[in-house]
Amino acid sequence: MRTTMPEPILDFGRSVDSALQRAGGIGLARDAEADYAAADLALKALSQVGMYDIDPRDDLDSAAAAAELCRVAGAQAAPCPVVGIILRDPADKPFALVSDECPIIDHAAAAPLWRAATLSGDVYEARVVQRTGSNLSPFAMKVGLTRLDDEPASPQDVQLALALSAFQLLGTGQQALELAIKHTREREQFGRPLSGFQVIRHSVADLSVGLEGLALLCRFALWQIFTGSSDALPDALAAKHEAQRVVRNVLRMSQQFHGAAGLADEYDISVLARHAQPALRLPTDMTTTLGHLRAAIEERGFEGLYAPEHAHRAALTTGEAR
Amino acid sequence: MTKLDFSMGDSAAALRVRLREMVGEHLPEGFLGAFTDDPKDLATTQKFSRTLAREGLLTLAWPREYGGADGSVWEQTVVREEMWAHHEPRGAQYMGLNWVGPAIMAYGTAEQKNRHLPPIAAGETIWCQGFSEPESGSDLASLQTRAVRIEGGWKISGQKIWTSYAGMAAWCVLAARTGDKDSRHRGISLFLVPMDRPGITVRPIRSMLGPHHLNECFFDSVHATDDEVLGAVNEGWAVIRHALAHERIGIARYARCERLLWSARSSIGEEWAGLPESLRDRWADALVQTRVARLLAYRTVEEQQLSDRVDRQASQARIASTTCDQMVAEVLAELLGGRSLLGPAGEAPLHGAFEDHWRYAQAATVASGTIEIQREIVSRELLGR
Repeated sequence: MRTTMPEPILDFGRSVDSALQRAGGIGLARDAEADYAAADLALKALSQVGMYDIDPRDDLDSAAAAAELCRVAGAQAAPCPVVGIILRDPADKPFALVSDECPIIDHAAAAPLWRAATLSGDVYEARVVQRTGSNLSPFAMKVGLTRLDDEPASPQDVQLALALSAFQLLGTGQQALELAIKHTREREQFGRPLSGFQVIRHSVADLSVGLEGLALLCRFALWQIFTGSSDALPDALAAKHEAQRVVRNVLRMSQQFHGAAGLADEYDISVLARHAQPALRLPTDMTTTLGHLRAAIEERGFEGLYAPEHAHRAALTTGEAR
Repeated sequence: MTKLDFSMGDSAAALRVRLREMVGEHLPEGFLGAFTDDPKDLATTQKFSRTLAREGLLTLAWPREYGGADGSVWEQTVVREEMWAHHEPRGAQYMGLNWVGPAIMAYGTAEQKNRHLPPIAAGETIWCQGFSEPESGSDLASLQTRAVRIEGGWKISGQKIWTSYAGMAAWCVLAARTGDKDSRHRGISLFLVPMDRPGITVRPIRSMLGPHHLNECFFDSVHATDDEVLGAVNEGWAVIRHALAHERIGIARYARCERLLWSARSSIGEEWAGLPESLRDRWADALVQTRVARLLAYRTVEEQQLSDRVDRQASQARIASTTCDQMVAEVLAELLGGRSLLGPAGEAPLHGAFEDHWRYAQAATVASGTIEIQREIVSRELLGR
């Protein structure tokens, strides 16, 4: 068993992190709000560390490298659609999961045309209609969808898109908790650091459990996509849903620990909390994702110690279990 | 490059199959562990333990020099999972196997090893642990049970509480103060004393955990010899820490949780589709949380092979596993609806396993170190003292 990323992948992550930091770190996201040209600096940095050379569909190690890149990009709030670019099609169209009711793609402006799919596998061509203009998703765009009569979206692409997005949120959450830890150790009130107050200590402990669990769930999903005996959709949905649940909470609490400073854009936590919103809400919000997850588990089971075998599962679905 | 890999390997998988076969063969349907009103259940656990011992599976985790099988950490994990998922059919043997035996291996004299390890390995002796006191719960280092040196040994007086298995145990690992009153963890020693020694009184405490489980123990000038001290005098804390480290990942709560979630699904049968979607969603989420708890436990096992310092990881795993236990208890209750209140006289659902699980889940965040202590251990590493 190896539940942690292989060392070369972690090394790669460190090089992605240095490249993004050198380019401006979280400041790039802040700058891109005023002038989107800053986003090019992030793309350039990621391109230099080899983002365009990774195809996560190749094998588990390639997927792990892609996942690590997405995680680090999330931690640095890199203002570019890393998941979409990594899953681009042979015609270089980035790939995004969308909801067909209100199709929105974060950083859609990065490409004139996108390949998009719903969670149920319907495939579309997407093109930018307009910016959302929302402070909560400064780079999100409404897109228009044209249904393509292709084959349904590759299940692997859908699963990787969910898992990589979960890794991106994981990075955001890890960064937010680190910022909160740093702040509460430095900031003193009532004559002692905030980190000395039990209510904060225990909250931080619980948040760390959530993030460690999420990290494992994400890596497990990746492993299932490549080695699982059954369809990994439930695993990928589980990772995405857990990311939505855990990271939303980590961002909220980390911002809270910053007090009023957490609302100021000169503090990174404020930028992270806003820029994470599209990944937290797209293609479906947390509750809807859970509904998809439940339906997937009911239909396909959920890899574990006691999940029924396929035949028995089919009987459950048709009500013949009794 | 070593790849991500979440499989436990073929030998662990084969062991899981073998254990399930033994459970199916030797345990009655609806078996719920040793702590029931039916004395046959305790007998079942004693018999099952001896069967495991004969098959070399009871001490699978132990080193060969002590009669064990040197089982891999993943085989040990499988044993923890399968035993807990099936209501711990080793019953009270659990304590002796999981930590009393290993602690005696690590700290005991040759004579203590010869005397105690073979009966533990054979599944023949029940041990209890005399740690908690009325005034010393989470703050164990404040314990006041006193061992005073006398000619030819020690005289021990004091009171222990919440002692599992005390009424059925033959032996006790007893923590007592041998240093001065304020010596805290520097003045504690451990004694291996037989429970039938004069001066020991056990009083059962009625509790939601079932008959015989929790007890008070009174020690009134109980004699102990020097040979019965485990480890060095005043250095019992190191042994206790060793024991608690074993306990933190000792119980694979997630395994029973997952089994019950699927059993509930199966028992509800065709009425499942009529349940509110929001409730079925919670069932799915609970399955995810059992996976999270399981993976956090695996990570702890994995890192324990590389380092002795896995306090944070073990506590994180324990926080996830104990809160998952309680979450699953509530989800099961709602899935079963009014049937969740039916007892043995009224066709209890899941053979009473739901009711049993709910009661035990309430203890999950208290037993072997409260969740507050686990959070403190985690935050100490992340935030400093």
